[in-house]
This record gives sequence, structure tokens and C-alpha cells, in this order.
Amino acid sequence: MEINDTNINEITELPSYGSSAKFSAILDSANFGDNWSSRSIKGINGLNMTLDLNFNELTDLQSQNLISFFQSQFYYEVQNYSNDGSFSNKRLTPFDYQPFYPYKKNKFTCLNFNHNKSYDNVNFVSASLNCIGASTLSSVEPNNFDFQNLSATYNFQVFEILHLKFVILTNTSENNTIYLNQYSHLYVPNSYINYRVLSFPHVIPPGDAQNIVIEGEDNLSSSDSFDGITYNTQLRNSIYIDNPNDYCFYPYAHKCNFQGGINLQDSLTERVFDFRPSNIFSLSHAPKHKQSTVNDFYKKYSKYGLNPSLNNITLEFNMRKNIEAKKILLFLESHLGYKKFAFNFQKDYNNFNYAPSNATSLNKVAPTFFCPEWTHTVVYKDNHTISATFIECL
Amino acid sequence: MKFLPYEDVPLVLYKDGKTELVFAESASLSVSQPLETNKQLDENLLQICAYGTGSTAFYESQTFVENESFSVLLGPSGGPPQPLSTSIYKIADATKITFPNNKHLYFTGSIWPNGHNYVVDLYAKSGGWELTTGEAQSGYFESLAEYSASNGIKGTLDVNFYTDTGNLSSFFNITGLSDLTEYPPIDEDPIFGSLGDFIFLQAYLTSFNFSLSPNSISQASASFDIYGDLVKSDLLKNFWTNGMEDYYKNKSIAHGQYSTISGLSALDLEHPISFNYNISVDRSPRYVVPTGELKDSTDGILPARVSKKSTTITMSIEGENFDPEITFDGHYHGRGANLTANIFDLSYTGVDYDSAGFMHSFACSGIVTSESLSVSSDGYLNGTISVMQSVR
Repeated sequence: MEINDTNINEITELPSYGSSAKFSAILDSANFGDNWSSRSIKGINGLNMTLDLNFNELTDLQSQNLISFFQSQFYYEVQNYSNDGSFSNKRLTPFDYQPFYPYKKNKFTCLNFNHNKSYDNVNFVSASLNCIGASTLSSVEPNNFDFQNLSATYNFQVFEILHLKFVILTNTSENNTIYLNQYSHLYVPNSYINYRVLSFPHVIPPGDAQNIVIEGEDNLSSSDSFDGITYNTQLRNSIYIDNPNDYCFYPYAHKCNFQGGINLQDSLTERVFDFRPSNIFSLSHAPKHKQSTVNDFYKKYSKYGLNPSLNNITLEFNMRKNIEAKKILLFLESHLGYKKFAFNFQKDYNNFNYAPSNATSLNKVAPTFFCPEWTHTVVYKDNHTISATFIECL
Repeated sequence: MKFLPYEDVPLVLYKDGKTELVFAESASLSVSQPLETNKQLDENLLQICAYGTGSTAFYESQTFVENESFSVLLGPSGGPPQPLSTSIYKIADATKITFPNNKHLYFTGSIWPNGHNYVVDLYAKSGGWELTTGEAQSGYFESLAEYSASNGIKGTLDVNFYTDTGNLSSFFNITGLSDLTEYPPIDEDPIFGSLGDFIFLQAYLTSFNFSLSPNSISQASASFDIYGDLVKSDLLKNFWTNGMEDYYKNKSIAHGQYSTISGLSALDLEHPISFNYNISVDRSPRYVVPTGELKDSTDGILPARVSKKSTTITMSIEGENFDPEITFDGHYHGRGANLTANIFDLSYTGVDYDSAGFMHSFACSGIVTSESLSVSSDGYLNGTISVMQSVR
């Protein structure tokens, strides 16, 4: 049964609050002893995005336009042959759609949609849109700190003229243009001191310099100068997120100290997910163990070995402002559903020595996780909820 | 302290170029917004990863000097560092951090966390002591919380007023159309207005009722749903104080003296002593998510549509008698009743009064939903009948 065709060729209505975007990765996994494992994504289209859109309180005409558009994707056309002998009009053609913040325009198909009428001239339409053809090759965000091609180097120097302080930022990289906005932070090397850019936007081509206004924790003196790194460059790109330069992070390897001094490494190789989940969580523990199978009623249990207590956690990140939601989403996307990252879950779970002190290579500072699926819901203006599944790994 | 008297607090409604000063006896206006606190794990826990600005993540205790500020790198001992929680709106200058064993440090300066606060400056009020590695992981402090709105601003305008010809057809007419060419013929347009100096931008009538009785002025009440914030404007005060004379002229208001109710004889009720009319409508807002360049605009704050749903008229009439209408005599689903109230004013013309005569008709063609009798010592038997009509 098809609704009357209104010849609409795009989604003309904005979705209602409560609409969500769901991400899931299709992974291959290899499991080794002592809970070690390795994962990879199945191909470059392995990270999927599905939009669940709600359109509340629509008039009859608005709902008719939406349903008509969704159904029109499936209208049969007389088969047409192209010059190479194939059918040229049998494909379900994806359509362009600009989702809500912070996503960029992409191509989608809609395979499921519902139409509910709750009163005369009051309709509810929901639709599930699958993003088509998005490639993980579009993600150039670093998942560790060896991604120097994406970054730009700069010199940061403070000048004082008539008691007024200016910061001159010189782009010292060879080929990367720096893009700074109100969310950008400039970090001092070998330190966690950073300065927020107050005047914006700044587009600084290689070799150029600009006066900028900043704020930070420290009182700057007119002799301050340092050479830094920023990832806010024209090369940043994302699969699904619009304008990833809004996301600025600590651009160096995070400092750490392996307790006991056995491993003298002093920086992490993974990036750190340093967003805090909402303050309610539920954690189920089922440490891995071995069980004899002598018979049904006599069971003998043995210790599994190293790393028995790896957890799966479902975390909620509620009431996040636009920019923080975007940062979380971009961080998760940049790990493509399978790459691991460090995460300090909670103060009571900070002891991560899985191995006895003489097992040299297994001491860890922070647990590492990968996130194969997450859901982002727009609750209200500037209010986002992200639900993510973190699977602990080594 | 100054309280504005009644005559300085006009209630004005605007729609489609029409302005109506409501002859109100009382009015109240309120809006509210659901807000929730953003609470995050360990948001008020301060863990010192290391002293300094982050050249190392190795915790090495240091002896504090009285009132000397020093930097600390936040996070669990051993790292990696972790910034302050974004659920904190502000940490005030000199906020106390309580560590175990009655040890305290204080924040140097105020902090508004932004997700990059790995390093903070602290000081001790006394010198010569230090924090062990374990103690340094367990500092607690208080802060001002960040809040998030979970829905739009909504409120109500309740008004008790005297009806006149100007407001009945334009502003208190739920079922009518402001634009006769509208299709489908459902008027969902908002009105806007002001109460005193306060302007509301989107108001939707949700109920209107009035009562009539012999020899009495008819009083009405109405409720509006308000969406969006209230805006205070000094311009309105100047406007009203400079041009109020015309608006304060005597008005033609509905009165029970000449108003009539037709359709009573079918109910076997000839002498009504009171009459009440109520019309109400269910409305629901449609908020939309702004996309693309609209993300920072005010789009998504006001509803894009406020739909009209169930609209119901109820009338009740009290008199000397009634014919039982709720029966099983072949009418299992209620018996019909048609009542029409024709509203008139006092219908005289004088120096200070200009009568409009007939003002408006309110009809209810529905079914009888209740009937009741009451009598008391030294009184008369009274009957009451209620009629309900589902309009849409």
C-alpha cells in the first residue's frame, strides 16, 4: 500500500528531539591465551551509522510528504539498459541527507519507516536511515601519537608593548595550514599547561604568523616562547563528523609512570579517553576461570591464568554540551570500533596490575578498551546523551 | 520597594494586526523549564598525579609551605593525567579540598572547567606537612554544578476577565479560524501579548469558560499555554501610560439580564438559575532539532508547531426541574441535547456606555452526561444537567 505521491525528492522536515545516531563496527577477532586478543575491522565499510529519526506532531501534509519520499525510493521503473548492457535504474539510489549536529551530509537509504496517526491532522513518523558507502579511509584522526603528518608545528611567543601582551603564533610547519577556533587549545610541550584561543577564527598558512588572544592558567611573561604541535590543520577529516577541527586534544603522548619501576616507559602509546561517564553505573563481574568436566555434579574450578577480570561496560554520558558530545563522538569514531584506548574508569578501579610484579611486560597503568558500538541521542538543544559499550582488552 | 497597582498592569493580546486590552479582574503568568544536573563519576574527587605542570607523572611527596601556591597535575597516581570534570560549572577561589587525616589544601583562583584542566594551582594554609601517595588520591571538594535543559520553556497564562465583543471572536475562540482560507480548517496559530512589562511570544488558548446567571455580570476565565521565555520591555510601560484613556473607557460586557439559553424546553427545564460553558483543547508541541548552520541559533528552542487534538465543549445548566435524559429506553449511548447561549450585554446606551446588544453565541450539540437533583430544608428542588460535545 502506497501513500499518495507528492513528488517530494528530499526529506523536507526536521526531526524531533529524541532522534539518535547508532554506530556499530563489524569486527573480526582472534583470541589468544591469558585473555589477549586482536581485532580488525571487516573492510573499509565496516563502521556503520544508522540514524533513527522521529518526526513528531506532523500535519497530514507533512507526514504525507515524508512517507511519499521514503516510498518513492522503491517505485518500480521500467528496466533501462546502459551501453555496457547492464540495468541502469534498478539500484536503490541513496539520497543526500544532512543529519543533526555534529554530523556532516552523507548518503543514506531508508529501508524502514513507520507512520502513526494519533489524532486528526496529528501524525508521527519514524524512519531508520542507513548511511551508505562511508569509508574508514575518511578517518584520519590519530589513534595514537605517531600521526605527525596530520599535525602542524608552531612557535608561540609573547610580546609586551606598552604593558599590553600579545601572543604571536607562527606556523613553522612546511605544508600544513593551521585552523584555530574558539575550541582550540595550545599546549606547552612537556607540560599539561595550555592556553585557550579567545579570538577566532585563525587560518595560518605555513610560514605565516598572526596575533592571537589567549587565556590560560598561567601568567605569561613577555619572554615566554615555545615550539608546539597542533592537530588543528586542514588535513583533519572524519567519516561522519562535520568539521573535526572543533575537537582539540592534548597533542603529545600522555605521561604515566609504571609502578614498581619494572617498565621504565613513561608515556602511553594509546590515546586516553578522558571524558567522565555519568555518575551511575552497573558493573557485572564474572572473572574468567577454568572448570573441569569430569561429570555433571562434581565440578572443580581452577584459576584461569593472567588477566581473568576483563570487563564489558555500558557507559552513559548524559547531558553533554554540543562540543563535548562532538569530542566524544569523534574520539570513538577515530578508533573505528576496534582500536584500543586507555580509560580511567573510576577511582576504585585504579589498580591495574594484572600480573605479579615479576611478570615484566604485563604491568599496566590504565586499563585499555575498544568500543565496538555507541549511540548518540539529541535530548534537547545543547543536550546530548551518548551510550557506549566499552570492552576491556589488553 | 514598589508594587505596581492594577491599572498599571495591562494584559494585552495581539494577533494578525489586532490588539485587545483584556478587561481582566486577575491574571497570572508563569513559565518554567525542566533542568537536570549533570553528574559525572568522581566529579568532586581531586587526585594528585604529580606535583608540577606535567613534566612527569611520578608522585613524589613534597612539603607544603604556608600560603605558597603550587601546581599539581591531576589524575590517578601513575597516570595518565585526567582533567577536571566538565560537570563542574565553577570551582570558586579558595575552595577547600579535604584529604584523609584532617589535611586540607585550597584552590588558587576560580576555575571554570573546559575539558583541558589537567593542571590546577593549590595552596596550603599551614606549612610543614605533606600528603602520602594514598592521601593524595582522595581529596574531596565542593563546586557549582553545570545544568542542562531537557525540554523547552513552557508556562501558563491564567486570566479571569469580562468578555466583550472584541475578544470573543478573535482571542478566546478555540474552534474558529483567524484565516478563513486556511486548509485544513484548523487554526493553530499562536497569539502573543504582554502582561505589564512582560512580553510572551507564543501563547495558545487551551481552555475558556464562562458562567451566566440572572441579573449578574458574566465572568469568564481562560488559560493559555505559553512557550518561550518572557521578555521584559520598558517600552511597553511608556506606551500604556501615554495612551490609556481610550482603553479605559467603559466596555460592553456580557450580562445575564438579557442573555438567553435556547434548547431548554427539550430538557423540561424552563427557569435556569445558572449556566456554565467550558471549551478545552489538548495541545502538543513539536520541537525540531536544528541542523547544519542552525545549530547555534535559537532554532529548536520554540516549538515549530503546537498541534490541536481533542477539543471538547461541556455545558451545565441548573434550574427548577429536568427530564431524565440518561435512560435505558432505547438510548444506550446517551441522549442528545442542543443548547445555545446567546450572550447580550445590558443593552442600554448612555453617556458613558455604548451598548453592543447581542455579543456572541456559544452552542453545544452533544449528549447528556450527567443529571443531578438537590434540595435542602427551607430550599427548593434544583436540577442540574451537563451536556458534552466532542468537537474534534
